[in-house]
Amino acid sequence: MLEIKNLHAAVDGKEILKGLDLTVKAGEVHAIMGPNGSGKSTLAYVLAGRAGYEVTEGSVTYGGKDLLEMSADERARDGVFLGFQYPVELPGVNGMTFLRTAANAVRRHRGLPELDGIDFLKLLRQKASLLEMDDSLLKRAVNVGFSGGEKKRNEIAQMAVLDPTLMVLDETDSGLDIDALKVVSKGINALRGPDKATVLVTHYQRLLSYVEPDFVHILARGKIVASGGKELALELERDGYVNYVPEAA
Amino acid sequence: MTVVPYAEQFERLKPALPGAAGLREQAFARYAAHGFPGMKHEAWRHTRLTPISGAALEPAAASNVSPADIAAHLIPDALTLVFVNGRLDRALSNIEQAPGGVTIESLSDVLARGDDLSPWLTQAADDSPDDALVSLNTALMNDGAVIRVADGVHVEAPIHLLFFAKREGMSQVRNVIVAGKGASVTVAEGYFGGKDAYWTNVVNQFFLAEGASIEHARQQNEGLAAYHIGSNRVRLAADARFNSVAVMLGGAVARNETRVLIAGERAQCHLAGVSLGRGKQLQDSVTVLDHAVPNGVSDQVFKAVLDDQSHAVYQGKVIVRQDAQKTDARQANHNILLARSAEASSKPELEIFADDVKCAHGATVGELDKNMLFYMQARGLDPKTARALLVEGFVLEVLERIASPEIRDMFRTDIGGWLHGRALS
Repeated sequence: MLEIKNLHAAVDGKEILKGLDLTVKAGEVHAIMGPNGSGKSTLAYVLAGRAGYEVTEGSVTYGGKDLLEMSADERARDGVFLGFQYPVELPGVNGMTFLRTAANAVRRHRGLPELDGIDFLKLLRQKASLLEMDDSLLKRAVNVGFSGGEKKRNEIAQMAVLDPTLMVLDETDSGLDIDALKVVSKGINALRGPDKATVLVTHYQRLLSYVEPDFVHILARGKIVASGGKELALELERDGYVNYVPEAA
Repeated sequence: MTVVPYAEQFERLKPALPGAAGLREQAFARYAAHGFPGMKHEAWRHTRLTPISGAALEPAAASNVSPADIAAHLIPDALTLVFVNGRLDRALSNIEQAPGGVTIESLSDVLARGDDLSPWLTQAADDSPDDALVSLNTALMNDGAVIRVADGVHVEAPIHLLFFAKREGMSQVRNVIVAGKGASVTVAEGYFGGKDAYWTNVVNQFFLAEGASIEHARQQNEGLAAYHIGSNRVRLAADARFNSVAVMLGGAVARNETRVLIAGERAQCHLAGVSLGRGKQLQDSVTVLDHAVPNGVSDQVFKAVLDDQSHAVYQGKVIVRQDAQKTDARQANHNILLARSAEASSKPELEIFADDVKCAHGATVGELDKNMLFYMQARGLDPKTARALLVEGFVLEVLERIASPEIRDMFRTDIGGWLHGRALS
């Protein structure tokens, strides 16, 4: 589903990713772990198509297409979802209107009929209850005045409604208490499926106790330096990154 | 003395103008002492008026509009007055349906029958050069609405003044709205026009007696070659409340000036505006809030969204006189530039002579936030849709101040139409 080859990317002229390779197949969950500054968020933004993240070398293929040729919104409509580490507040933009506009943009792309207000509300209620989320949040302006946990739940609610194919979740576990972490994990697990894939970008092993990965990769200095199963995450939890990043000692 | 613009028109037109001959002469003299305001007057520095001051316009010829032309602009269940080229069209209006305690009349009728409105009309302008076009309006006023709400009367139906300009020329419109003690009323104005170059010079006077309340909504969607000079004068007695929201989309040069006198204690004045600019439009919002007595409240929020080479100006003056202790006056002006070539000018002026007051002001100019746009695109919204939602969100704070859901929706539709016509990419 996703094939990243020799990816080099720079921000403000500074190279952050330095030859990253990663293959993600349908049905798989990959965790990307690494110390601060290793390039984890840069990878997430490059996959989502953020302006200012310049790919200088390499390729990214998504479902057989050149992902790097697509604009951020085309990628999203085509099933790539980025869960933000810091979800953005949109003052004055009603959550319901925003999400319905997004859902209908995705549906049009998939050749599905658009949802009217009533059908959309039904879908939303169904997804919100899955996340134990109070749908009154969606009646407010997007993320404005939300707590950290509410913002992350809102990301997962958006993801549930948009029903993406490739989920890239950037530090979705950061700033969550244990109850919120369980709820968010439940939401992520509910969206796992044989034709979907997930890339979890995370600093800690904690989330991986709830969302079990098939593969764990260690990203350091812009490259994947080690890959393994979920036991690799446990090893990192115990020993830190010292075996992979000498300066982390 | 040099000949001022419109001197010849005034001499020729005055025999046919309705009533108030003496008042008109005095007003014309006041206007003529200064002529048109221009670059040398600080409050008019950006308002380029040469096309209407250079070659004086004639009154726009009588014309008519069809019920179909106005249908889209009507507020359901309103008391509606339709003016075409500045003259009341009785067939399209329904003022005879005004309930008890409210009189709604044509200014032309009131003046022609010899009623003396001068106690009201003379309060609109003083000898300042800034008031010259209000004086010119008093000299040339041809029609408008005179609305009187008796003490204690709550008018349910909004009173809607709709102005259509169909030809070249000028309309000199004067509206006088008097709300008695404890009365309440909603007054909406709408301005629409064709492609011709024309000039609307409208003066609104609002008088609020003790405890009166007026909800005012103004929709300026004139043709893009039009000149629109709107001058509002508001006088608030004790415990009165004036809440005004103005949306400005039209005109080549458009100005909406509101001067408020807080004359009675505990009066409240809320002023808000949205300007949406494109092409080479100039949109000027000017406010003067004069707190003359203690315990007054005023707050202002003016926003502009500017595309192409458009220019929005906000000049907001707050005067807190020595006696006006415990005044609470707030003012905010926020601007979004959709194009690098657009321009916003913001000029707060605070003149505070009392020592125990709260006065706050803030102004910002910026572009749409790139983080917000990326977040929306990452959810599948194309850039144009994302920008439109952000702009709608930006102006929402102003629209939410409109008490009537029908009027709010009407304004939102106008703004939506404007956004739809923008490239926004």
